[in-house]
Amino acid sequence: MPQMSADRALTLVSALAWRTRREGTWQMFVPLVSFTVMLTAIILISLSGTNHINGGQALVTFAEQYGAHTNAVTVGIGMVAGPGLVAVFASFSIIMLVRNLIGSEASRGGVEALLAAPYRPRTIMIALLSYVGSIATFYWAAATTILAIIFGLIIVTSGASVTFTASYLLAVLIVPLLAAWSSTGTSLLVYMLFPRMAKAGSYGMNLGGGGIGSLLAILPAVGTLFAFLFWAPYISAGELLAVAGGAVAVVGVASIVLITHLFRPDAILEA
Amino acid sequence: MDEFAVVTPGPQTAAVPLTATGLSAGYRGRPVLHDIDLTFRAGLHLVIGPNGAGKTTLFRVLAGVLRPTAGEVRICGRDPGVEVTVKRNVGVAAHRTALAQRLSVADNLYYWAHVLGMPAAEQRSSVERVTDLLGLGEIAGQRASSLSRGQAQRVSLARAMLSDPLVLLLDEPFSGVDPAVTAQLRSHLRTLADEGRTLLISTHELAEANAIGDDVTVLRDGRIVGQGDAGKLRSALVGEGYRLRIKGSGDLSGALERLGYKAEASQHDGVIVSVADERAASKLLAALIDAGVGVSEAAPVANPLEDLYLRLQGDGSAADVR
Repeated sequence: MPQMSADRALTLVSALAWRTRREGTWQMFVPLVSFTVMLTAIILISLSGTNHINGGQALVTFAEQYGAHTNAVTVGIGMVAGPGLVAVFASFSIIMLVRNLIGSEASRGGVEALLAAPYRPRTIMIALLSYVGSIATFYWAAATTILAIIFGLIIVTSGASVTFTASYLLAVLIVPLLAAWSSTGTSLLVYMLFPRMAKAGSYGMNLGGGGIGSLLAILPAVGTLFAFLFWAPYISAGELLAVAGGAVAVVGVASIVLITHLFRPDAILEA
Repeated sequence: MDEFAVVTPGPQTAAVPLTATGLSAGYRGRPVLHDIDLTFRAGLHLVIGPNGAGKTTLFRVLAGVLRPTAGEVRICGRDPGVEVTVKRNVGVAAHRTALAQRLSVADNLYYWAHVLGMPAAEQRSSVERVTDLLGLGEIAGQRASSLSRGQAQRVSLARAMLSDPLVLLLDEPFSGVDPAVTAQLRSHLRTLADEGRTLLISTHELAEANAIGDDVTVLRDGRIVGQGDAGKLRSALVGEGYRLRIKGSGDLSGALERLGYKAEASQHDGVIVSVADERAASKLLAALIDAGVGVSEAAPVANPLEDLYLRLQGDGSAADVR
């Protein structure tokens, strides 16, 4: 039975992916432009030296631990703030996507149509989680690549030599990805259980409940950003991975378990 | 078994495609439907009732979208909540068309064929079949966002028919559809019913409904108040009398009251009043004119469904009759 349910979820995921392709995928790349611009602006500021950056000396010390003696502030920012920014960017993009998806589909009857199709509500939730999770993975991968390219260029052009430890690389890759997945689960949890929050105009001209939903869903990513900013210079990368990664993973798993068990069709039908 | 295959009818109620027994349902503890028993065989069945009667909720439960709080639904003898594959035998065209706005008409149909898990060859043949059936060829490449309400309704109906289902649940299929298309649609629906399918239609388009329905189910406050032939139901539920729709200027309701009559339903530009027979109707009109009321139009309510509907709306309520 679980195998059959997984097969069905896969069928629905492939249908959603087919629809996304036909609707055009170029919009998915728009947020990446703003991420690149933001990262470039941070680099330009950091290239001006330690005097212009609060905590600049700590960043230099941190970067030097990994062998960066030229442009150490910039390298330090990339290593400390970069992973958190990737997490926040991927999570924010996915929260907007989920809010738009649930808001528009609920008000146009799209979710009701899916519920009338030969799927259990839980299978639909698993399919939505998988679909949105795969887009979150795409945003994480794209943002991580942009981060690597930009800071790689800085390191290469400045003649610096940086050697990353395996545990640091693991932390940089895994924690932001877990944060993006956590935001996927949390945003689906909030907006599927309280779909009115996702509907445009439900709260008049105020952000209202929708804003609260987005704030809740972005917390894992904000936590990741703070963890790297405040702890990375002072604790080992392994400890960072265990603590931050563990906390974000717990939130993600909890939200996914909750949404697959608590989702009730009447909530979305009543919205 | 192929998990998306059409499920063969169950042993107990194989001859009855759709049944509901002791059905109650609602939203987050707010009850809407109460203890409903229904049996729908092949044919075209109408569901009417005032706004808020529970028609949409009934359709949602029958479609397996909403789980009942009590009682059970059987599609071909099977519970759609337990054996979800049986839902492939049900096509649903809800009031909200749920079309993907950025997709073309054809892509909307192909998307749904993907959702239903159809293999590629079946997708193509099914989409071509429903496109021909509902005359969508000319608009197949058009984006859903550019469709009129009537066109969107046709696409929604086409999508409901993709899996060639045994049961069709159609919520307001004539809403916003122009008369020429309505006539085509009526003919399609009649053909589908005559082919042995079970069609349930909820509608406010009572003239259309009266022309095609085999029987009518009347819903009020979440309960079935009548089921059967429209004319007989009208007689049973609202009495035999002769009902007159009067439009005019001045205080029609007040004048009627002074003459000893009561307006049964008020519309924005007239009232419905019950009289004993045609002779009494003539007398009433003469009395109204004598009383100084400007009568611009007076006609009997000829459509039994409309008569039934207006009576169920109750006095003074905002009748929504198009």
